[in-house]
Formats: sequence, structure tokens, C-alpha cells
Amino acid sequence: MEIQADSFDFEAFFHAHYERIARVIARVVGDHSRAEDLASEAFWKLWRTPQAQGESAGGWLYRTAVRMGLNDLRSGRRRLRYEALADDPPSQLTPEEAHAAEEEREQVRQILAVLRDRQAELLILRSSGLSYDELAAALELNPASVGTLIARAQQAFRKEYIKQYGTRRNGR
Amino acid sequence: MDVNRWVDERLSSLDPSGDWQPDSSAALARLRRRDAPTRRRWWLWAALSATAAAVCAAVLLVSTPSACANPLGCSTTGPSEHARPAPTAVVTPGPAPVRIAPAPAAVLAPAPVRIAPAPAAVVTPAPKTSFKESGSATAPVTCELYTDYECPHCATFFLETMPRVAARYVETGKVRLIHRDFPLARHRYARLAALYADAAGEEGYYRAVANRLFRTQAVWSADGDIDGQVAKVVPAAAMEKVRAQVRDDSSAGHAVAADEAQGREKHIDRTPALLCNGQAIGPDLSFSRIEASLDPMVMR
Repeated sequence: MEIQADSFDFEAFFHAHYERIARVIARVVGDHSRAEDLASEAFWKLWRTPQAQGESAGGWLYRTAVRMGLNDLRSGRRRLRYEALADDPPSQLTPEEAHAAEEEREQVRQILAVLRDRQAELLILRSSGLSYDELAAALELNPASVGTLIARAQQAFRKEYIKQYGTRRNGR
Repeated sequence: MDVNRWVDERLSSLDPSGDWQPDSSAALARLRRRDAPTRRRWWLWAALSATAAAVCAAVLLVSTPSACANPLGCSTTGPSEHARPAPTAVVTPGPAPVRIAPAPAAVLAPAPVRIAPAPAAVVTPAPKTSFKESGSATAPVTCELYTDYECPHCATFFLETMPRVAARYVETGKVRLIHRDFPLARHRYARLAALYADAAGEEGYYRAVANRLFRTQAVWSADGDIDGQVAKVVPAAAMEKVRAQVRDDSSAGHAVAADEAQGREKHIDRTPALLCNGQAIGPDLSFSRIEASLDPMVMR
């Protein structure tokens, strides 16, 4: 049953979900500061949308957040520059390894940016640790079809990846 | 090879670094600061909103047929509006008034359609053939969209959702789209608008006119000046041919009638209505709903 917006504890909900939402967005945009800005924006939208507050607020929020992240990614932000400013490469990596890792991340984001919305959303949220039920709730899918849709999204991802970057390095 | 594992490995490269800790307390504080001015303006906003809502409700009650009160579309059933002025077009100046569709009662006054001045900016004509169809003829899915130019839900759907559907499915060769007219009897100008659109299509201006009619629906459905709106996007010479066709109610009329017959045969009972490979989509015609229906069809 839908919980009335009046009984919705926004502050508790914020603390419970903020970190995870920020991390989901960070996977897409790459820049931590930008991810926190977008996460705040997603919560702001939730705050301003009383009909989304209730039992389904979690799904609504993840859906909104991942879409905002993808929109930001597609808007052509200079993620590499942000990441360079935001994060020092992990100390255990050589400069060459750090560069290769960054190149890999950029390639993966490039593929996500050109996939269909639904497929990119599925892959991002799944890789962020959402269960099939959580995915179904977030993306308004039939829970029975989530597995099939993920498999299709993975096939589409690999096909696009190989199309753009070939099999030489990563497409074994 | 294990695609699942391969993709997981690629996506795991996006994991944010472990030492990054998003600060929910600071973020909540920022949100509160952002909300503060909003709260100060809230009472003023609420008062203005209440007034605006009351005005809008009054306007809607007066102008929106009850058959369109359903948020999903305009229904073919519902209280008759035949007491309203007849869907009659009079092209002035010119010879005798030309009746476009039969009037339900002779005593009702016709709604004049004025000839508009020459357009300030007109569009380049599109090819004449198959102007109501778009997309690849070999697309795996054929969708038929039934609309009524006077239906507010159709205008919203056509202007907001259809461009996304076209970009995703039609322009990529996955869907062939056929736009069909289904003017509801209760909408006084809907058939006349369809006649103008189809006549303009014969001259290569279908898309421009359909867009114009949906965008300015609130204007011409109130003043009846469909001619004036169409003339804003069709050059003068072509506009004369459009008017002649509308007066004759010939080929354009036949096209509208054929679409209506198709709709009745397919049991269309509301607009907008979307059939894809013969299967009705909706009644919810949100993009996500259409996407959920079309994706499995185009992937087959």
C-alpha cells in the first residue's frame, strides 16, 4: 500500500540513500563533486514531487538519479578533466597503468552513453548492486523479465564495445 | 565466452574509489539552504497557484469537451456536442460559403474561416508521395497513429512523445509509422483541420501543417480560423490549391474518410491511439510504455 506523503520521513530517507545514490551517479559521470551535485539535485526533485514520496520513493529516486547521470554523460562534460582534478591515481598503479585504467573507464562510459536508455540504466544499476526486484521497482519493469532484459543489455553493450574498440584488448 | 562476466568486468572499472565518502549531512544542509527561499515564497506561491488553478479549471470546464476529460485521451463516446455550431467552413472573400461537413441543424451559425495574409516564413515542401507515412518500408514493425487535431491529448502526444518515438524507432529504420486521421464527431473543427492537413500534404506541407495545427490547437479550436494557421506555414500559391481541395472535399476528404474507416474497422475508441503490428499500445501512451511495447517487437 502506498504510504501517504505526510508520513514520509524525508530526512531519514535522505541519510539512508544519499551515499548510494551519489555512488551510482559517480559511476556514470566519473567526477565525485559532480556526482554529489547531481545526487542533491535528484533529492531536490524528490522533495518537490510529493507524489513520488512514499513506498516507491526508492525506485523513483534511483531511476531519476541514473537518468540524470546519463544525461550529464551525454551532454559531453569533460569528465577526464574533472577526474584528474578530483582524484589522484591510486598509489599502487604506475602512471601507465593509471592511464590505461582511465582509458578503460572512459571507453565504458562512451558505450553506456550510446546504448538505449533502458539498457544503460539496467547495466548501471545492476553493477551498482541493485537486486532484480529493486531493478524492477526502479525501472518499472516486470520482475520476471529483468533477467532477460539484463542479458540483452549485456549483449548490446559487448556488441557496441567491440564495434568501437575491437577485440584486440578487451574483447576476448 | 561468458558475456555476463565480461560486461561485469568492464563495468567494475567504474567503481568509485573506496576512500571517497559522500557526506550526507553536508548535502542535506545544502538542500535545506536551497529550500529556505522557497519556503519564504511558499505562501505567496500557494495563493497565486490556487487562483490560477481556479481560473484554469473554469476555462477547462468551458472549453474542454467532457469526452477529453480522461487523462489518457479523447473518447469516441460521451455526451454529444451537436448543439454547438456546425463544423462548417466559409472561405471569405469568395463565392458562396462552402460546406465542408453536414451541419446537424440548419439554424446553427457557421464558423467563419478567414483567409490569412501571406506567410512571413514558409517551409520547404516535402515530397508529395506517402506524406502520411514515415520510416523504412521494410521496417519490422508498422505502427498506425490515430489522432484528432482538436484532441488536447493528441496535441501533447504528437508534439512531445512522437519526436522521441520517431528518433528512436522511425529514423533508425525499426518502425514504419502511418499517421491516420480520426476526427471525433464531437470536435467541431477536427475534420476540417484534417482536411487542411491532408490537402497541404498533397502539396508537400503535411508535416509542417500537422505540427502547426497541433501547436496552435487552442487558438483555432476557439476561433475556427484553421485557414489562417495553415497559411502561416504554406506559401500563397500552394495555399490556394489547399483551399481549393478543402472546398471540393475531394481527395483530402477521401483520405480522411479512408482513415476513419480504418479506425472504425480496428475498433479505435479514443484518440490518440497507437497500433503496432495490429496490436493496440496503451491506453497509457507515455514514452516508457511505448518503449516497453516496441522494444520486444523490434528485437524479434
